[in-house]
Amino acid sequence: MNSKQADENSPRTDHLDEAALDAPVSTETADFVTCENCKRVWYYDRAVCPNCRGRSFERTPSEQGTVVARTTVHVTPDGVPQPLDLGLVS
Amino acid sequence: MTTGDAMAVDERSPDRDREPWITGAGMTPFSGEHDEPLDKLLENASLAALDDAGVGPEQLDLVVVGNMAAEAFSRQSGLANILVGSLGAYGASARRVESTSASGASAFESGVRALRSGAADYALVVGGEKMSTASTARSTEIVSRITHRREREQGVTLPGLAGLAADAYLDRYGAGREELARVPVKNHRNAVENEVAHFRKRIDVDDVIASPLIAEPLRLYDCCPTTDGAAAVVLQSGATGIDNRADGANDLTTTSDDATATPDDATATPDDSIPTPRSAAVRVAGVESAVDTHAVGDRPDVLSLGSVERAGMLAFESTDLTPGDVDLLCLHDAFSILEWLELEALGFHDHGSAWEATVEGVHDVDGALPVNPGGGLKARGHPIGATGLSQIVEAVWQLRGEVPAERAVANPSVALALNLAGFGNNAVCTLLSRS
Ligand SMILES: [Zn+2]
Repeated sequence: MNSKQADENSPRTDHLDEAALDAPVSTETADFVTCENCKRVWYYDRAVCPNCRGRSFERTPSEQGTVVARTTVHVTPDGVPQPLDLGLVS
Repeated sequence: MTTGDAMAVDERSPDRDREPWITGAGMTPFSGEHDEPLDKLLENASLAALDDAGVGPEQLDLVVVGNMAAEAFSRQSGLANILVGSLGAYGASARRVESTSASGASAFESGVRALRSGAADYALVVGGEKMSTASTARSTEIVSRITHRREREQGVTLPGLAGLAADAYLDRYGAGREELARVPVKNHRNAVENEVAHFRKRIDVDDVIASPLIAEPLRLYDCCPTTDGAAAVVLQSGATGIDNRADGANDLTTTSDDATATPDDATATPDDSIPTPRSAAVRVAGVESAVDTHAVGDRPDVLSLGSVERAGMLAFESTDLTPGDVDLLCLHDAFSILEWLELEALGFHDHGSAWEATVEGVHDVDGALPVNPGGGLKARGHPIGATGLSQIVEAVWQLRGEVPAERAVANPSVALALNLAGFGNNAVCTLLSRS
């Protein structure tokens, strides 16, 4: 979310998170988060672990998995490559 | 939560006063571009529902507006406050409810809960969205904000998630691309005789297959449009004098001798232009909602809609109804694949078998289990905050037998509406009954 810094001096004309939308699309390996208490791995960052109520997480690199579904998206928001290949990995 | 059996209705009779009924339903036409601003659309749908109920704005003690993104689409806030002012509903408590694409049904759920609790006796619930003010790119961007921030970083949008689910479903269950096309073909056919629908033209399987790719295997005709429009219902508690007769017909008694409906200081005679109630009231048997993980990747299976499953289960449990009692469904087909996933999550078909029922015609208007007789989101349109209420309006019209014969379900008693947020991170299930 470093692109947020770029317009910190500009007045916000919209209460929604424009900067987050403008963030570059990740082409790197997706990070997971691991609950520091119960070690359960979650797909995305979150405030509370549903497994143990833990609130501390560490970023962990994703591992190899099996692609269970794939798509190519031909209509994407501005700033997102088009077409974009997506896969769901388990 | 009341767990229901056949006796529960009678045992609950002290609560009959708190039973919610829909006494009025109305909506604006849905279209790709309305001339009217959002607040006017909300007003027009509200007046249609009030007139249908024969209720005056001064009788309302609650107004709830469902809307997702008036700030982003219309640069407007305070919709509920504007509406009560314009209607002159000065006796009402007013607010807006938002849960992205489920905002309409969430607003409805809030109204129903207020009636059940005794906080209100006459409620107006209206949902609306005006999306044509934004360019297609801007609109895609606004809608893409409802996915998880990390999903957005990876370029994951709702069409992308739907594409993944469709790919997994077709692959796992052996349904073909042409079979999936049968969903929008059916919904378009149903909308031809729906005069408020966004698209009123038939399409065939070849049209779907020839339409541009959006997120493989999904094509343009698998995806709902962006739409302008509003839809509204009037809710009344049993205490306002709704007589639910044993023969199944019901009646709305006039409010003239009903102390709860008349302000103590009323000096003015109501305007004669307020019509008397036109139609029988429809009972809100149950409405329940449930959530699921925001990130689709955190779900056990891309094809499981946990929120739908749970909302449906809770809704049935709160009534004396079972899925076998349901005569028609208004489902959230924002993408064709969702119609099958929702049917399976609600327990109407086993996992992997909804597609065969579509192909066999089970979901046609004259089939055993009609789905989206009003055209669904695909053909009626999807003005986000209005959608949940437009499903309920369609269900009310069907239960009252007020739709053209071409899309009328035969003599229905029970209807189910399912309004979904995002790709299933929130779901609201409503059960309506003719008596
Ligand atoms: Zn934990």
